[in-house]
Amino acid sequence: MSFYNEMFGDDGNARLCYFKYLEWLNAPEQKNLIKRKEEAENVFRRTGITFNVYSEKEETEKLIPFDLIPRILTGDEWKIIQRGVEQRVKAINSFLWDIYHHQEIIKAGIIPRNLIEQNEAFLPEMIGFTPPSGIYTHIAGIDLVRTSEKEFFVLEDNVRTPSGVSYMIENRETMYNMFPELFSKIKVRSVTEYPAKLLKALKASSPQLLNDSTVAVLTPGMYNSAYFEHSFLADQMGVELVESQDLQIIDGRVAMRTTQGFKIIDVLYRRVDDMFLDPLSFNENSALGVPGIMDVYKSGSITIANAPGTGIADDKAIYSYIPKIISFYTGQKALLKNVETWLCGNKEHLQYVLENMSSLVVKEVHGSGGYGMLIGPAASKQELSAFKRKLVRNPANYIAQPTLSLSTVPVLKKSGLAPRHVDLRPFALVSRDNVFVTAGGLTRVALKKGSLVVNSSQGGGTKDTWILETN
Amino acid sequence: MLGRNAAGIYWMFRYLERCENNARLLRAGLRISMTHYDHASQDWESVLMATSIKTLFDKIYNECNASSVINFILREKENPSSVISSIDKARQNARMIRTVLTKEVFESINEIYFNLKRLLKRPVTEQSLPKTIDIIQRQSALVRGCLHGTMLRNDVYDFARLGTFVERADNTARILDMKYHILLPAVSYVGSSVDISQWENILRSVSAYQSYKWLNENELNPQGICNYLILDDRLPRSLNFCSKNISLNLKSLSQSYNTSFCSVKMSSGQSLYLKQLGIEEIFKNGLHEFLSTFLVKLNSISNQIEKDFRFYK
Amino acid sequence: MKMSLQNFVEFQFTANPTYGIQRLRMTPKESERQKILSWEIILKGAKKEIEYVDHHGNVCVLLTFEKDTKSVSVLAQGDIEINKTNGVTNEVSLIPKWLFKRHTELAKPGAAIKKFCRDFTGFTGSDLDLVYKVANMLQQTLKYEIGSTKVETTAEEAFLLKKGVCQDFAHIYISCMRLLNFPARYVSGYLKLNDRKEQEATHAWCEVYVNNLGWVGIDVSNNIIVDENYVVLATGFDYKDAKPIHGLQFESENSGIKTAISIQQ
Repeated sequence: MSFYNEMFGDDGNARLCYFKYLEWLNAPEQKNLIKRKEEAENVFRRTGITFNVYSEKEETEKLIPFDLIPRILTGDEWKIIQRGVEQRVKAINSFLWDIYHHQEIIKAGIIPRNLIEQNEAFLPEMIGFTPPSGIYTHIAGIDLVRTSEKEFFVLEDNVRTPSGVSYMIENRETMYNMFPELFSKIKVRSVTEYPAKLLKALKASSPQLLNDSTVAVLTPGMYNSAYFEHSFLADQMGVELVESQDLQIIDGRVAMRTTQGFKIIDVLYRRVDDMFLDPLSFNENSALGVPGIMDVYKSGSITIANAPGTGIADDKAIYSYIPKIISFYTGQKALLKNVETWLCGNKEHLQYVLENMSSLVVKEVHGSGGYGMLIGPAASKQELSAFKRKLVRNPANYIAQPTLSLSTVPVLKKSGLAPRHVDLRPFALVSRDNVFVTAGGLTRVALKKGSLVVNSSQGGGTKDTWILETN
Repeated sequence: MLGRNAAGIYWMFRYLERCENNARLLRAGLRISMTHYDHASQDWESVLMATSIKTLFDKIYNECNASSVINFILREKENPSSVISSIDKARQNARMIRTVLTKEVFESINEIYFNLKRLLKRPVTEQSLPKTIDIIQRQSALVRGCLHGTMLRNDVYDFARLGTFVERADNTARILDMKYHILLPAVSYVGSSVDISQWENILRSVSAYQSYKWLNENELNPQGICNYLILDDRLPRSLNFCSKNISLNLKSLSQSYNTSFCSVKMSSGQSLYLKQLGIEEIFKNGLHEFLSTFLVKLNSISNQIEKDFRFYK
Repeated sequence: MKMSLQNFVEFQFTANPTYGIQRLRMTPKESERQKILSWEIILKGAKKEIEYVDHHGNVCVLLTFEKDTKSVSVLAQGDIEINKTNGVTNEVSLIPKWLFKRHTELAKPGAAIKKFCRDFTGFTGSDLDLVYKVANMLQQTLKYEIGSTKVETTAEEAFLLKKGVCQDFAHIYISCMRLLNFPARYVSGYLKLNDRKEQEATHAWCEVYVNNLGWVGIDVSNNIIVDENYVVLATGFDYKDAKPIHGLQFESENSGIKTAISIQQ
């Protein structure tokens, strides 16, 4: 299989968008660039950009490896992505409203009922209720892969609580600090306005629009693997980072305990999963949520972002219907392609998957983080047959996709540049009247040679993503 | 600010102060053991007495010598107030409240945490102790410097200072009280070289030996030392100085919140009381009694702060 | 038929809870079969925070405990009018009927319930006949015995015991009807026993949706047909989202619960 190398063409010549960068990289001053890797890592460690890993022994804090070579996209390439993401996120919000109201899309026979009926992410509590702003997913991250010069595919939608945006920003900060001269040479679009835009979008979705709204970020706490991101976003937005123990119901509103008494919260950007959000409504044993918050929500006095129940729009089975969802609600053709997907719950699809497993990627419908998936071409015979047994036992739990030829971008090795597979997660913010997609995103890179798994939990790293300013 | 964040910064600085106090205590212990080698193990034991966790020490170690005491105070994870435990808790609090800290303060506490973790990975010998103590003191000075140099003078700052002074007052009072206990049965030793060395130890463990000598030339006597550590409001570790600052920081909070708090009243009462007190009176009514009452009052002020500012649910 | 209802519940605590919160569904659900003439909820030791209508159409009241209270009491009372509808209710709701076929945690069928339902697969009568038939069969199989089960007992567990209280009977029946492809739901409310004014406890039964007819009320633990003596408080997928009082409190336990229900014509 041949892969699209984003930096070099098949003839070995650099692609246009990397010209200026390579000019800099090939200068004698950069000869020992690899040594500066440690410098970057020290910055991350000192800033506390770590994620927690728990083993039997003790808690350890790990860094997500950061590669110094940026991934560069042109303004035109970005336009394709931006428009596609906008269209997708708008359609997903329309879908969510419909699915929690009249379910026209099911009645029209576009989506089979059982995909909703059997889905744990579908929350009956949301039926007939419209969130204060009418928005369900305020913050979305869409995972893309590239297979050729012009072809981008959506691999996955993340419309519950997408993470990674702090890496996007901190990666850029680190690059700014380490290579200031690069940015005066090459005009790269900024990503640092994201927190301000996020705050604006959150405030705009407030149930009360007369006065300035109070926003807070709800975290499960410092032991959560994404805790850095939670505190980073609260800090950057200048709002409180709250935990369950800080919140209670006061005068029919959700309020936080401050040194000067309780203060009402209008908009809660929660990074706690649906099932843990309200022990009175969902998991009774949850110590991470706020008892009664669903009651406040349903009486219209708080905005919860993202809305509970958005998960119905981003599991891997619904994913395969997104092009149809887009055309149903917008009347347009999907701008970004979907990867062909076989739903193993469907008998014919299952048959196909079983027969062609060695060339497919099989994933759990609700899985994430690269866990529980099988990459057919890389699997041994034993692994294949073991996975087949799992699959047959609970086919509806799996989907399969062809193994994509993910594009590569070089990473820096002691021996020089070496191509590695990448994906891209751009982040979208939804307001009442527009969708804002930050010009950039999180590029994840598989650090092992030939590996197609980019997840940080599986040893993947990240790169700064540059969108070139078009003059 | 969130009540939990106020608690976080208060405790972050209490633990940081505790960490530094431990380092000081060891420096004093080392000094004593070097100058009075006949009583070496006894001197190390006296270091333990000051930390009031001798019982815990005895549970973990069989022998009381330089190495076991040093490692107990610096590295023992089972010791909740060891340097490593304190710095771990200080940083945990810092992580919890990083949204109210400047980048500089957060990064400096993160740095001290990583450095100490590396430094204290292996047992610390008597030989490497001075260098280790140096690093601990320098690093915590760095955090304090970042606090002073970069933080807004608002409620966050007040809570940080409150934590520092409450812990410091507690430490000074405990050291005085514990030494008092050690010295008590040895009435016959009064004036002997052992006695003097113990008192000298007290001064050193609160970094006041040098300044005491500036002020009192070479006159080392219990009453003079107690007067200095309890009542002298120029010494940053004296009970009077700490109480005054607790009261000032609480008043500042009360002003910025435009509310009168119970803890303000309590602390200013305590501060005024110390201001007019004479050392003769303290000795007349018993030093131990005075220190016990002081610790009880300090504790109730600390509890009242937690209540007034809604630290907990 | 006009009725006056009073439901009093008092919780006493072992220690003053640091924080307590409850969601009440103690206002009769309005429908064509029952109209509220007047209704009020009086709280002691607690404060009403919010009132709203949930996705099932139940009126919910969220309350929080007052500081340092030793007990919390709720008195829900008022007058209602029950119309003769032969136990059938129709209502406008956005919840699709098929969602009532989804098995829930408390009403999940196991092997035993599945086996029991297999006997009805070849049933040739009308839907309504089947609704009654299953209820009849269950009534014959199950024994009503107070104290034999707990609130968290599932349908399958109670079915294996062959006994339970109204909650278990309702869960078992819902479970069966869903297996037989009927939308079914849990109802909590009151049953006025004609020989007395003071009633023992709140009651629970079921409603099954029959096409072209509506929600048909079925009470497996009593006389099967839901008549004008039944007052619907709340409906839900199972006990969990239809229970009259649902709450939690911190650092305290209940030391006692007092209840008194009176229904008068």
